[in-house]
Amino acid sequence: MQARSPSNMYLYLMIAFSIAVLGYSVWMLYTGLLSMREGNMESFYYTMFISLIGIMLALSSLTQIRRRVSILPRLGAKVLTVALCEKCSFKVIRNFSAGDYVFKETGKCQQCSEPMYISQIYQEEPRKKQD
Amino acid sequence: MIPLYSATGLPFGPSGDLNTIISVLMYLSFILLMFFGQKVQVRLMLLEVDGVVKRLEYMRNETKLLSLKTLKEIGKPKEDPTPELNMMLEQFLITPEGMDPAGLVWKLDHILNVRDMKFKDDVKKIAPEADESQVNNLENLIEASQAMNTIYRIVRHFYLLGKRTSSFYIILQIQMILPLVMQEAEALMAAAKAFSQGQPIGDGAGALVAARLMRGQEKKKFDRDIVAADTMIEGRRVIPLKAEGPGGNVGTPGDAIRQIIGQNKGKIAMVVMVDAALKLEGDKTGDLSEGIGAAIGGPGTERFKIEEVAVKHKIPVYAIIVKESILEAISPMKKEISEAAELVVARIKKLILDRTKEGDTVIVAGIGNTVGIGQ
Repeated sequence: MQARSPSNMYLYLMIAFSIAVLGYSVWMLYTGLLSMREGNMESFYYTMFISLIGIMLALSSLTQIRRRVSILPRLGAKVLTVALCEKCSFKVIRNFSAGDYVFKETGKCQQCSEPMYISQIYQEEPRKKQD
Repeated sequence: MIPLYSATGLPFGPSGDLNTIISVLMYLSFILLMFFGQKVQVRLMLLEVDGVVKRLEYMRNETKLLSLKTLKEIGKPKEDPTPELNMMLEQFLITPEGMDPAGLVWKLDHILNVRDMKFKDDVKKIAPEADESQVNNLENLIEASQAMNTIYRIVRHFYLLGKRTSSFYIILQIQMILPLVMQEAEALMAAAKAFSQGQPIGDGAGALVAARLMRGQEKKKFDRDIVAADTMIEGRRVIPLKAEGPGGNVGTPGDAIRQIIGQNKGKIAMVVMVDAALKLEGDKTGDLSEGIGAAIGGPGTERFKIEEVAVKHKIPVYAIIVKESILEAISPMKKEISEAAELVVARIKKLILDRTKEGDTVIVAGIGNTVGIGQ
């Protein structure tokens, strides 16, 4: 499915704004820590309060954007076709192409020249993150 | 005066004056929230619903564009099909009056049959070059677009109504169900893509099982859009049936089962129904469950027909379901669901061995949309 530019533009602007807020908040946090080292506790509490709110807001916004973006790859997930030879069980896995359907005869086996058929058509699982 | 830059070098840094201003602002915001809290909440909820309405509009337009593109590619219409497609997207069905429930099922069945025939004829008109299986896929694709259009219009209706009346409860109703609505919309978008390319969907699990059982056997056609075969398992005569594929089709298995039971003069040892069923959160996709009763969804007319004939001839009806989510049911089939078909065949064999004796006749009905699944 084609991606439309207006929706993406809004998404990029949101990401840029959230990252800017996050960057500024982290910088404030750092300045606050410097104030604490100098003994200026009033400034330290103030900057800590403001920067933590900023970090939380930015992270929450980025998480929401991530959730929204994660839908797109799921919709564009790859579909695979499995062709099987009934005689020698030789298997060919390839991308789905228009006209494929389960139990359709699809050419000859490369190993024994017997007819092959499509035994499965399924959606490929998106790669899971390594822990 | 508040210094623009404080001693810390940060804009709007702390000072004694600023502390006083912050305190006053906090008291003020507390009082304001006491009186206008609900209005603020309404505004926030409207903002959230507004975002969803925009996303739904985008999704609705995408599925409509996909339908148009596929119609033009496959159907090769001589004229622009947009006006006809728009008309089909707004088509509705009036269910029969239920004040006198006698004969209600047959009235509904008749209305559904008329609707199906008209819809198919309309598709054929705007896609003259499409073959039978492509017409079925296009029909399903337009139905997905129609459902998406309906969801968008309903959400927009409540959003605009809530905005106009500023009614907390109208907005609350729609805001509460937004995650479920979005889940269904995402599923429909995935379904539209699968139908446009003729890929098997999760709902076809039952049809896949029946297709496995009838492979290599001679097929017989039944009314409407159902195919059945005759095969032997462990000395029992097994009649697997499913909707005719590989086009998107669910057929009317209820009618076919009635016909087969009639042809066998009621001498059927049991009916096994295989279907995809919605799992609960936490359940594993592709897991199987066994039960009793007619496993078939839809408006209920097909289930009624099966139950009626089963009671008349005292035939036990068993059900095997493949668990999946709503998104998985109408998006391209997952590997776990595809692989579950083998396990279902093994369960059917066990059920046949346990509950019937040699020489008995068993019907195995593979229920579900057979898009992308031949026989």
